[in-house]
Parts: sequence; C-alpha cells; structure tokens
Amino acid sequence: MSRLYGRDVLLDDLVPRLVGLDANEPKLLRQAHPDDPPALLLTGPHGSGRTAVLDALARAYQARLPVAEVNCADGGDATAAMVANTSPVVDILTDAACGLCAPITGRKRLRLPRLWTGLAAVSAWTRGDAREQGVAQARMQRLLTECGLADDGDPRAGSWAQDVGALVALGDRSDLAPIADACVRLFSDRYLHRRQARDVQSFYASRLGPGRDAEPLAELCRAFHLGDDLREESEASLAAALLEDLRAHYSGWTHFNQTPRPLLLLDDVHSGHGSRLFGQFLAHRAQGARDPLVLVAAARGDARHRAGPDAAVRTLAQLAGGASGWRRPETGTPSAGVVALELPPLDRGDIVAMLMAGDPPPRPELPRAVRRFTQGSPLGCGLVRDAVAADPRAADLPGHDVGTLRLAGQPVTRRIAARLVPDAELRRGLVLFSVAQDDGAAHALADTFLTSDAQQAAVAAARIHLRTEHGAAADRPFVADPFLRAVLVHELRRRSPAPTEDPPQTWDAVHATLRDHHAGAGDPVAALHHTLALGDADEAVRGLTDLFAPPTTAEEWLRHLWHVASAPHPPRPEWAEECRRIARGAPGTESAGDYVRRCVHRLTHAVWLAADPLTAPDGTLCGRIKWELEQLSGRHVTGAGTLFDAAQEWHDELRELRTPPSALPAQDRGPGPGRSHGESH
Amino acid sequence: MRVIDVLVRPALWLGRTVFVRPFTRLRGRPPGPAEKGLAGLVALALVITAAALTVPVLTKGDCSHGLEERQGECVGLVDATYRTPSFKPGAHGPDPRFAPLVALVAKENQRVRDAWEHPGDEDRRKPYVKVALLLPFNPSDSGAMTAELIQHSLAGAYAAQRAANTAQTGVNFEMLLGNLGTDLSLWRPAVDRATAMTGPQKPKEGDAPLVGVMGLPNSVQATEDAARALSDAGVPAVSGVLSSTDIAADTLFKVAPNNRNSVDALERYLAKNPGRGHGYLVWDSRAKDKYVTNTKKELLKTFGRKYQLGIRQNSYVGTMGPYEGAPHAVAAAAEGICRTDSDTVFLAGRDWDLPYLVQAIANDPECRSRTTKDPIRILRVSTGLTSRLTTPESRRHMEQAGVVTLNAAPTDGPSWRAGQNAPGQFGPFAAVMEKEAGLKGAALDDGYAIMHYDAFRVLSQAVDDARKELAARRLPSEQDVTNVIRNMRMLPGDTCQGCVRGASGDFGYTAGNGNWPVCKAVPVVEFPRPKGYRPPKPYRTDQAANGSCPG
Repeated sequence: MSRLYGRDVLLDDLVPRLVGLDANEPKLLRQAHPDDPPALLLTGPHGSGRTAVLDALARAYQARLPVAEVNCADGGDATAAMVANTSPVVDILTDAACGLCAPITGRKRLRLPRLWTGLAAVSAWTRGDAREQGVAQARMQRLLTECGLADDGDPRAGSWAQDVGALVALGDRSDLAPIADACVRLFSDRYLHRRQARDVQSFYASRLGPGRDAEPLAELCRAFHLGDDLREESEASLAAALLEDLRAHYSGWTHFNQTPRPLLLLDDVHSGHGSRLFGQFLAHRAQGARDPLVLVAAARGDARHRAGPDAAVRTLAQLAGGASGWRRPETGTPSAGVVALELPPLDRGDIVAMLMAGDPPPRPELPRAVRRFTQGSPLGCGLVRDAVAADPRAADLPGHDVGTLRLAGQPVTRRIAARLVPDAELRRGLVLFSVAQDDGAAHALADTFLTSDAQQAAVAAARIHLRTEHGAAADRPFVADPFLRAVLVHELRRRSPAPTEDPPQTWDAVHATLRDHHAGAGDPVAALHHTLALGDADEAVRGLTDLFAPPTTAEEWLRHLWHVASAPHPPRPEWAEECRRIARGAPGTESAGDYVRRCVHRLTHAVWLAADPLTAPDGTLCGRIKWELEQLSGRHVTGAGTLFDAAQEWHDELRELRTPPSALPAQDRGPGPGRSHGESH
Repeated sequence: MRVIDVLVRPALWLGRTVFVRPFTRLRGRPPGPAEKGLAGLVALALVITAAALTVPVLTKGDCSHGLEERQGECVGLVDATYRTPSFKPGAHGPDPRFAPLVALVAKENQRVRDAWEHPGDEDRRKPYVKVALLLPFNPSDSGAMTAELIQHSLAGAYAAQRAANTAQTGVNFEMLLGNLGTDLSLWRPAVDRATAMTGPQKPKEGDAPLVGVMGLPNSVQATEDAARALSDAGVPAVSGVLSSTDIAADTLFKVAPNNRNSVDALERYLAKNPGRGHGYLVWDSRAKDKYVTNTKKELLKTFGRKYQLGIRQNSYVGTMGPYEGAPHAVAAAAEGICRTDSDTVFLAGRDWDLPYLVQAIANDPECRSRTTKDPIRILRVSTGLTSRLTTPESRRHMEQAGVVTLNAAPTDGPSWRAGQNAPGQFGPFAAVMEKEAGLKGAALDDGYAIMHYDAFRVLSQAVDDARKELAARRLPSEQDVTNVIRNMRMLPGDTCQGCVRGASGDFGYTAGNGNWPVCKAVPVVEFPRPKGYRPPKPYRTDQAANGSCPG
C-alpha cells in the first residue's frame, strides 16, 4: 500500500510525537513522554496491516533518525541454532545495531560501544570450529561495515577472524576465554576510545554482579556459549547494553537539544525469540532504567493477551495526542511499560477513500461489496484495490461480484488466500474444511477426501493453525473468521479439483458428504444448509416450511432460517440473478404449495442472497426480507410478535452489513453490542 | 499579550527565516531547541555588539567631544588639545579663516599639559591653570562677530597666552575655547562647563583649576546673563570689548572704557573742534542690542540738547540680530543729514552699518551738490577702526562725499603703529602678535586683538600676583584671582599699584564703578587719517580736569 488507510494516528501523531520528529516535514515536535516512552505494541490478525505500519514508519524516518526494522520471525534458522556463538536474539540485535547506526542526514552516526563489544564477545568461537569462526567473521564484518566503524574497502573488516587468531597464543584448543578476550581487546583497541572501553567493562561488570565481574565480557561469552538460561541471561545483558548505549548517547547536549529519539521497529514479536527480546527490553525498563528508545513492536493476536496484564490497551482514537494520557503504572512489571493497540478493521470511509482514489472510479456499490467481503481487512482491501486498479473494466461490469476480480492473472481470492495462509499444504486443507460446520464435519471431510496418513492429521493441523494464527476461539463454524472463511469457500467453489485428489474435492461432493454427515448425526438444519449449498433450494424450503409449524418457536425458526440460508452459493454464474428474481417473486418463479410455503420460498432466496459474503444486499432486497417476515408473522401460531419485530431488525441489520442478533444462537449474541453486532457476516 | 504579538511573532518569523530554514536546508534536518537557543544567544550577542558599536556613532552628535548640539550649532567648552573642534554639526574643524589659530592653541595647550604631566626634567615641571575664551565661534555677517573679528580676538588671546607661558612665572596657562553661539544666546553649556572646572577652594599641587574666563564680546543681554551666572559661581570674567554701562555683574571686569567715557571723550573733542555745530543722530533701532541703546542714551544725554538731537534724528534696522525689517536702510538718514546740512553726525550703531551710511551719504544728491569744504563728521564710540571702513573703496566713498569718522575707542592702531602716543606695552604686543599669531599692521586697527590680549593679561597678571602670596607650588583659585583683580589699582598721580600694564595702556580697577577700567586712555581716532596728523593726548577715564589720573 502506498498509503496507510485508517492508521493515520500512528503515522501522523503518535510515533512522530514519541520520536519528536514529524513524519513528513523536517519539523521537530515536542517529545511526548520525554523520560519514559512507552513501548508500543500493535496487534491484529493476519492481514491487519501491522507490517505495513512498520514499513511506513521505517520509510518515513529512514536516514532522518536512527531507525531499524527487524522481523523477529525471520531468524531461527535451524542450522544456525546449532552453532554455539549465535542465536536468533543475537541476530535480531545485530540487525537492530546495523539499522540504528546507519548514517543520518545532518547528524553523527550513532555509536553503540556496549552492544558492539558484547556482540564481539559472544561471537567468540571455539578454536578450530570453522562454522563458528565463519559466523563470527560474517557478523563482525557486517557490524564493522554497516555501523560505519570500517570503510567499505577497509581490509581489516574482512580479516577479523585472522586478526583475532593472531592475537591468541597457542594453548588449549577447547578454551573459549582467550578468543573472547582477544576479540574484546582487538575491538576496543581498534574502534573504541579508552573511556568508552572503560564504560563497557563497568557496564557488563555491573550486569553480572559480584563474583563474576572479574572478566565480565569473557564471562558473558562463556555464559552465552553454555546455552539455556545462561544464554538468555547473556541475551538480556546485550539487550540492556543496547538501551544503555542509547541512554548514554542521548544524554547531555543531545537530550537538551531534543534530538529525535531512535526508533526500533520489531515485527512479529509473537515469535518465540521476538517475544523474548521484547520482554528483555521491557524487563530492563521495569527495573527502573530509562532510555530514549521508541520501541514499536507488532504481534499477531489479541492485544490484551499479547501485551500482558499491566499494559494499557488503547484504541486508535485514544492514542491521538501522543498517548498523552498514559503513565507508567506503579506495578513495576515489564508489561507496565507497554501501550497495546489492536489494529481495527478499515471502516467505511477508509475503504471508500481507498477504492475511489482510482481513475476512473469504479461503480459506486463496489466499496460496500468490498467492505462486506473483506470485513475491513487491510490486506483484503488492498489486494482488491490493486485488482480494481489493474483492470478497471472488470470491476465496472454490473452484476460481477468481488470474487471474479483478477490480479496479475490470478483470481484475487487466491492471492488473498495465499497471503493469509502462506503454507500451501495447510491452505489446501483449510479450503476443504472451510465449509465444515464443526470439527466433526471436518473430520468427516478428512475421512472422505484425505486418504493418505499424512493428511489424516490435517484437521488437527488446521485447527491448531486457526487457533494460533487467527485467534479462533469458537469451534463453530470450523473457520470462524468470516473473511478467511469467505475467501476459502470461494476458493473451494472456484477451483477445479487437482488430478492428484482422490476422490476429487468437487463442490457437490464436499457438500453431499457434509449433508449426509449432518443428516446421520441428527442435525437436519445443518443438513439443509448443505442441501441449499448444493443448489437444491426446493428441498431446503420444504424443510424450513415444515419447521415453521410448532413445536419450533419463532426464535428458533429465525435461527434455522439464517443457518440454512447462510449456505455458500453453488458455483453457478447465474445464481445471483436467479436468486434475486425468485426473491422478488418474478413471474414463473413461484413454487407450488400454500401461502407459507411460497413466502418461505421467496424469503429463503432473499436471505440466501443477502447472506452471501461476495455481494452486498441493497435496499430492495432488505425490503423484501422485511415484507416477507411481516407476512409470515401473521401465519405463525405463537411467534407473530417475534417475527414482526424481526422484520424490522433484519432489514436494518442486513442493510448495515451486520448479522441480525436474532439470527444467531443465544451464546453468540453476547451481553451487549459485542461480537455479533460488531462483526458483520 | 499584544506586545507579545507585536514583538515576539516577528522575532520568531525572523528567526525561522534567518536561522531555521537555512539550517534545515544545509544540514538536512531541523535545528533542535538548544541549537536555536544558542543561535538566539549568538544573535543577541551580535545585536548587542552591533548596537554597542553603532549607537554611539549614531547618537554621537556631529559635534566634537565636549560640545553639544543646540539649534544647529556646537556650543560648549572644548579643550582643543587632542582634536580640532568643529563648531558646526558635521563640519570638519572650525572656520578655515581662524582654524590655524585654533590648531596653534591646541598645540600650545598640549605643550602646557606635557610640561606638567610628562616633563623631560622633573625640575622643569610646571603647573598650569585654565582660562576659558568665550566667543561666538561661528562667524556670521549678521551675527555678533565676523570671522575676521573672531580671528583677531583669538589671535590676541593666543598671543597673550604665549607671552604668559614664555615669561618665567612658574605657571602655565591652558586656554579652553568656549562657543557661545552666533548671537551669544547659547552661552549656558559653555558657562556650565567652565564653572564645573573650577578647582576646590584651596587647589593643591597637581590640580589645574579654571581661574577665569575672558571674551564675552558683545553688549547684549545674553552676555550679562552669562556674566551673572559666572559671577554666581565666583568665576572672574574679563571682557575685552564690552562697553555698555547697562551690563554689570559682580565679577565681570571690563578692559574697554564704557560708552559714557567714550562720549566724554567725544565731548572733549567737540569742545576743541566745534565745527559748524549742526548735529544729527542716526541710531540703530534694535532694542535688544545694549550697545546701541546705551550709546544712544549717552549721546542724547550729552549732546541732545545742544544739537537738538531730539528732532534731528533718524533710525534704521541694524545688521546684527534677527530679521526685524530690511537691514541697514540708511538712505533716509543720509537724506536727513544732507538736507539739514549737518556736519556732526552721531551714530549709535554697529561698526558694519557704518559703511552703508557713508555710501548713502556719498550717493545722496543733496550732499553731492554740497559746496562747503567742511567734512561731514560721523562720531561714534567703538573698539577701533573697523576694517570694513578702511577698504580703498570705502575710503574713496568717504573722500568723495567729504565724510570723516571720529571713533572714540580704547585703541588707536594707526597712531600707535606709527609710534604716536603708543602705550608702553604696545611695542612688545605688536612683536609677539607678529611672531606668534602672524598678525600685524592694519589687522590690529580694529582693536579686537589688542583688547583680548589685554583681557588675557588681566587674568595672567592676576594669577602671577596671586601666586606670589601663596605657598610655593600652590595654585590660586578663582576667588584668589578675583580678589587680586579687584585690587589692581591706579593710585593718584599715575601711580601703578598692581595696575594692568596692557597693550592699550595702563589701567586699574576700583570699587564702586562697575568694574570699568580706571585711567584707561580713550583716543578719538579720525579716519581717513589726514596727512601729517598728530593725535592729541587722549582722554583718560576718571581723569581730573587738570589732566591727572585718577582725579
């Protein structure tokens, strides 16, 4: 995305005020929270635009202040983990150091003597271990060149390992300490002033405490190489070294002059080492240490869950004015220093601005349809926007739904699916399970369509993925996230079965399997859902008509109606038009049967069309639904009032692209304007 | 709030334009508040430095140090030691006609100072006192003094200073120049500075007190005011040419005889040379000029009845002073003189109006057709022969019209230079004038150099006499000088008891006569001078009928 929609507050207000520099203009701002900036944690599901925010921040401040953007999920290379002198956290810190020390216009480069020396120390290798030596050489070369310690052509950067080796006397091959000592000595002599070297020594000595502070850097290296908790302690020292270096650099004149503060952007801190490093930064601050680093982290998931118990969870609007209301709680826990923000879906205005910026502007109902389909997901909106921009005429054809858009030769839903679920194997499984109502149904699908052993675990893998990556809490439906489900269902509908599939996963086969599964499990309504998905509307209408009579209450019947009619539509291009004609009661579309049957026939088709995520219901359709429900209210034995009230409610809610509360099971409605209201279906 | 809006906002705008934007463009980043503060301090320092450098230059008037600007003139008292003073704003140095003399005074003053402060030899160390010469230093043809008169006055004073400093008296004189303004009305700054320079009651060694002032040339009210201010401060003032009896102050001493004396001299002359007895009075109508009003009063008192001056008279507007009608319109007076066939014309007017009257008489048809050989005598009282009258053209006019002037004056330059009736000190005076000031011959005839020389002599002689009675190396105060001057006596029988031995003759002072000189000679100077003329013995002030002085 070239522009951030719906996240203006972050880029225009909060982060500029925290660092003290306007994002666009060369204009200093009064720094918010000058002594203790909060760590900002952005959370959200897949495709909520976390990385886009971090990228935009990095772009805005590149070369204007020390800024580093590190993706914490990138590290963790399995082979690297087996080398004793490196770890993902150290890699992240190296990346951060290189980013922060990049040249800045009009200022001297940042110097991080404590972190540099610490990284040089932990990079020490066991003599004779070529892999360790290679890792150390690569890291030091990178640090030296990218932090501006050595010029590009400086031969000394390329000969670090040899230079260290030349300093060490021949001795015990397995001893690490001489190498570590030589690394530190060489680095200090070459690149640090005497005073800086002394500060570095005293810093690490104070970290280690009495008894271990004689050779603090050798001890740091030894602890790192021993692994486990000792390694974590060393990593915490390195993290603290970064903050301490920044504190030292941003004191005195720099502080007095309100030099814009450094910005560290950590993406994907939900990953193991990412969250460890983030926690180590926070723990250092929780101990009372203060530093100028503006830390912006992004994590997948829920804000409250990710940020910890004492974090301040805010909305975007509450962060305007530089989170001026925030004060560190006096609890002293690491999470107290966090301001967490759940990135909200894009709202109506953002989507309109996004789509209508194109030239020529697409047909006016497109933003509404896109909002309906993507649920405001920035990823979905962005890809749809790109697709519209790529082929404006395709989007301009009336009657075409969002699912038909193509981008770079691929259907846009496929690209969205690939972005939301990058793992192809997992995605194949999820596409199959997307139409399942629950775990049982998914298992039934797996039993039928996935025959090899490896695929048997697909349901569990899919469930785990949905839980961890998409934060799915509810079991029904199997894919709870409406946008993900809509994308996956459309993929199932759109694609042609792969020749390797046995039996082929066709639309009809999948839904027939599920219909039979639910019918066998004694859930006739769920069976009707899949019957409708198969395109057998008459059967579904008949079932619903039968349920209209007692003992089913009107409330139950409404829920059944919604459950059945929210079935995905079959892969027939003329479906929507047909559905619309029947709902309108066009001549020749009337079904046989009594008045109630005919009403239910029209109503079912109307709701089916309205519940389809690929199109947005218009006023006429909503009016039809209202009218039909009003008609039925006079025919119901016990629930005339319920149906009459529902007529207005369904009209209004569907008009606003929301699921009517009375259409959902009681436990999903929540106490107030909770999920069901906030989340449109 | 409004003041902040008015002052602070433009300052911030200026700061942004001058510092922030160029800084941002040059460094690629905006300056921080500390850098802005530093820039502000530097700017403030620059502004203050610039102000400190320019404000004195701007506020410094165009006047020299010690002078202040008033009504387009630089007035006050200046010590011409260090730099050449300019008496007009923006001018470089004084009027070129007497600038060399000012430079000479400055040089002499420097020498006097050096003799005290940096003597080559401790034994030759010589203390000095200050004397202020108060004159209008901006010449004007319609003002009190022309450049020529200023030059002559300054030359006389300077010659006296040199004479006093070269005499082995043990004390030197520094002469300060005080500008009184063209019409003398701006006397206050000079007088204030002069009174401030007087030393303590008992000056010690090392002081250089101001012991007196001299100059104050014209008989106008401003002169009396200045003299009274000086008198209040106890500073003796010696005026060289003042002659109006109306002007008096306790410590104002005059060197010239007053108009009463001069008119007496004229009366004595007319008694011996009665002529045909037809009188006529021509008078300057400027009421503020005390010289002319006082002269007219004295002339009327003495000759009014005898010559019927109450009816035989004409007035005109004198040249000197502000505009009060067309100046020197004397044709009517000339016509009156010629019609009445007067041969004894009394003129109560300034020197520079005289040539106009002569010319008017020469041009008058009645007088042209005059057949009698008797000359028309114009009788005046003055300081000497004005040079405007002695030009060949003027002389031709007078001879053509048969006009002679008879000046009752304290000096008779032409005769004295010819050695006729010359006072004892005139010779040395003429020598020192020529040597020091380069003035000789007819330049001395207007009397200003002689009279200012004598005025300085009064002060220098008083200082010398006062020192004789004081302890060694102690300098006299202005009171000492005043007391000595009061007791410069001419005792009966021409006995000089501490009298002033001036270039214009010996004279003294006595109590009760308004500090006018006693036994001062008042010759009546005739011009054009007849061939083979021998002047009679001059009248002396306070002379007894038998000729002894004082009587």
